[in-house]
Amino acid sequence: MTLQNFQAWAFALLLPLALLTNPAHAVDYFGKPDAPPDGASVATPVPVESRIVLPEPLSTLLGAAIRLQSNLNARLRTELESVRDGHSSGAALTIILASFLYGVLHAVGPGHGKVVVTSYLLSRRTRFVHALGMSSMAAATQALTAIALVGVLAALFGTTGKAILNHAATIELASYGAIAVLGLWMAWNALRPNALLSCGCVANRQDAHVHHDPDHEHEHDSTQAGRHIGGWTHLAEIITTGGFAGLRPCSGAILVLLFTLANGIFLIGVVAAVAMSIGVAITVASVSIGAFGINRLISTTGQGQRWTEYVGRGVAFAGALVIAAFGAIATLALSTGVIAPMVG
Amino acid sequence: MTLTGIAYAMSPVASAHPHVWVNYRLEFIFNAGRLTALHQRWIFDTNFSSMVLHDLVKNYRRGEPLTPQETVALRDNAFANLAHYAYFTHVWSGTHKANIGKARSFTAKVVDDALEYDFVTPLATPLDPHAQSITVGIWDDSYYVDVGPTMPVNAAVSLSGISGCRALTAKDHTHPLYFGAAFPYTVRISCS
Repeated sequence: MTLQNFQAWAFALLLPLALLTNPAHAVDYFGKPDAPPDGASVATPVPVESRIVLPEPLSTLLGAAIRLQSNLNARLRTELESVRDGHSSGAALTIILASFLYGVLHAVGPGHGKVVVTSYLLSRRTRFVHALGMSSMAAATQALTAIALVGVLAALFGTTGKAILNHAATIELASYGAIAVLGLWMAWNALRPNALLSCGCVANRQDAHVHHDPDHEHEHDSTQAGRHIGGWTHLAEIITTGGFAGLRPCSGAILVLLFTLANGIFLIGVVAAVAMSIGVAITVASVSIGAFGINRLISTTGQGQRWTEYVGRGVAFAGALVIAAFGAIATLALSTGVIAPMVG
Repeated sequence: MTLTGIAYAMSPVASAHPHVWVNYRLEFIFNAGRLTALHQRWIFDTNFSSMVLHDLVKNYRRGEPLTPQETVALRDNAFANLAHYAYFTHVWSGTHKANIGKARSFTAKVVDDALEYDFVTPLATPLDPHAQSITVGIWDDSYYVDVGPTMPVNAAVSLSGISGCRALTAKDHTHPLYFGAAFPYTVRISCS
């Protein structure tokens, strides 16, 4: 199966499946799994983020980002309320700005596909524009899934907000499954002949022999790499990875969309969700560009050497395995209820 | 350090930054010198309030009081499940964690678009504040819900049915939330 096929099938199957099936673990309004009907108490292990404390100054910075985010959220709410009440002068601009900044800060926390996107960019030779494209794809998919969920289910079918959050949790589970499969596919891809390489220096085995003269080698190398990493397969891989990384809808956007829908100002909610996703894209892109830069820095060393092909393959393979493992562990942990769904 | 990194990276699937905000007022109810129950009032953020009211109160009209049936709908669908999570209420007698019973006297109302819950959480065993110091905190370990006292903090807490005791509210740095990004408040009862 080609990547394009895989991508199309995965999207075509995952979304309706997620919308039609009942969530594996339904959660209540407080993000807590519903207790079993017999009333037995639910085991509540202290979650990992309560046990592990980030070193200073990271924990303080994360705390400041969260407080600022809470303030922006409150500001956004106030402005949305004033639009609902008909006092909309200047509110739209404030809503867009607050949503955008909220998105920037929101993505500082865990989630938003940063693990998948950075693993990919760290382990493979890509272009700067690919790093940007992948981050934007992740953020845009996240916003569109949220808009589609609320727009279709709540607006057309009157689905409750709680059910929508649970559907989002199902999509989350499905997206991690897809990421696991995608990671395995990439790992296999990294091993086969003419694979995309981490260093990008030897795109083709036959070309490897002719690298004797350093000047020629350099020129030849960039041409090869340029042609190869700009290929359609590569582009499809970038788009798919970004898309899957962002398939899980952003609950922050869902809550704003639900609020605006309930108050008859859904279009404002859509604008806010888009502004949020642009903010998310900027944060994810900053992280991605860092990963891209590190890969470039490392892969420049020993460029054109025969051994770099093997190292490149190894790194690409390892990166793909990290992505597969991330998807698999997340799927397993979510489906067994070790960790609670719906976050982000 | 590596472990922290892995945990942080994995946590998109663990519960994340708050999605619901609650401000509480807390009344400690003493009977015959022992703490028997906590009277809690939770005030939700208006976004959460809007979603829950839209979901559970059919034809909700802003400004109109909730009917008894609507209150029951809120209790059953957007409160009762918290019993399995002790209503996020943590109580210690000295270093011993005390058990919370099922909440009673649940009522709900909407004030300025904010949903408010009022309820009483009884203690499984009454606690003597003179024998052991009592500490109470209300927080969600997963930080999906950000729970904190109304401001100013000292006005959020009151004691009834006892004299000679006072409540001290402070940030509790022994219970980090969300990788140490936030710390909950706890109330300590000290008696002379």
